Amino acid sequence: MTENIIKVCPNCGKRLQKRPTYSFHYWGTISFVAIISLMLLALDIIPESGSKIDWNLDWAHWTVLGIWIFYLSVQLLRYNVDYGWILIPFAGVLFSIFFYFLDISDGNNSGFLGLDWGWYLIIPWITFVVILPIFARIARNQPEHIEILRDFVDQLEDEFNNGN
Amino acid sequence: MEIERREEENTEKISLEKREGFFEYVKRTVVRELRFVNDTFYSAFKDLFMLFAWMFNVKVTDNYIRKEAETFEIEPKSSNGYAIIGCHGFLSTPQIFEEIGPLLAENGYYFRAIRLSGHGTSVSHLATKAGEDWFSSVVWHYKDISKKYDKIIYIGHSLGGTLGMLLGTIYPLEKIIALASPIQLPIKSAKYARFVSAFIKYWPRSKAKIKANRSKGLATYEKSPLYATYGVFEVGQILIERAEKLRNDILYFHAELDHFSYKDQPELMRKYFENINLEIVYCEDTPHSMLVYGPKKMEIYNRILNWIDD
Repeated sequence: MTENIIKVCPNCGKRLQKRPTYSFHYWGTISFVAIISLMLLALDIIPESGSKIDWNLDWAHWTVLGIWIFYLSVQLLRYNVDYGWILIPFAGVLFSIFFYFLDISDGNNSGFLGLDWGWYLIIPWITFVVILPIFARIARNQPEHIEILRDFVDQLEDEFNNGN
Repeated sequence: MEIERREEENTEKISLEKREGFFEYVKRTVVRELRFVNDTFYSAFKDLFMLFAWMFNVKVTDNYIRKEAETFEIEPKSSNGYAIIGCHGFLSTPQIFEEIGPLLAENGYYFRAIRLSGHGTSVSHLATKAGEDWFSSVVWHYKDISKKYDKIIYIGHSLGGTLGMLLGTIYPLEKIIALASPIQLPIKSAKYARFVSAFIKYWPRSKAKIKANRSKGLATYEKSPLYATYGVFEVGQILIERAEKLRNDILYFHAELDHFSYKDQPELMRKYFENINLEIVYCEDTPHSMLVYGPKKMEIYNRILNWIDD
């Protein structure tokens, strides 16, 4: 599985490599992204002229949504590096939906399913970020844990029988 | 006199050539101010930069063994030639044998409580483990003990008991005692646990269980890594495949207050191990962790001792 393991002595179990000195509460990064999102929303609603706040969002909601999808993907990956083969495609699907709505919400929507430029981004994106990583993972010939255990038990039995 | 002394103190002792020049003074002041600004900004934004970096920092797995969770062994004062391996269950530690271990050693048995791979370290470490890792821990200790002792008895709680029965299909064991060990749990969705663990890595345990374990000072985990959970099912499956090869006497304890999925385990034991001497003990008012909790803990200890002595 993961190779990001703190080195310890195999005999005594003592830690050879110190832990990172810095750590943060789980809400630290969430608040960080939330504050930046609020800032973007505030920049959008503040009018260029006049004293009344314009509550209609022009662009900030797309930026905020993109940031949060990116944040979610990074957090999932951060805790499960070995699951990149499914987590990156998962993030890819979210971003594809994001691009779809980004395109359909603005501009000339006369193309296939109401999109204009979206397909030229979404199709390569789905191919390279969603389909190919999953395909490559499924194509990999890796034994399952139960097969490893079964082989291990059989091997021990053979060793024991031959030894006697 | 006073005036003279004051006049003397006021007299400049440094010659004009050695005094700090104007540009040196400016340089010193600017450097001091810049350092002040630098330190202030560093203090204000250091944590912010660290937090930003933390967001992308890969979670590190800690495999440092907690002191209280280490493997321990007890040598008897006068040995009767038997050794006993004690193996804990999933999420647990060798601490569960701290009470029964000395009792067994008093009766002349060499006792070793072993630690399964991934246990007693960190829950993220256990999340990288599976059945083959736990079984290799058991085999390693068995081989180590068999250098000194020919007659080995095995006591295993939960997963430890299942691993012990699997061990018994390969190596000679005198007797096996399995406490609330799962053979085949009827949870069909468990096979998806490894896939789901990509999105939900841990499943929390009940607050009552966490509180009880804390009060006992047990270094058990407070959440269950979904990736490793399916390993318990795999060990049971391999055991069932090899059930015919098991020839040992087995004493099986069933806890009445166990999880609903354990209700059928005694019947499954009878079904898969027809040809062996199997004795099943039903323990009333007893939870899954029967060596640590429950009103009938001492009765279980005595039953184990009597059965081993017979």
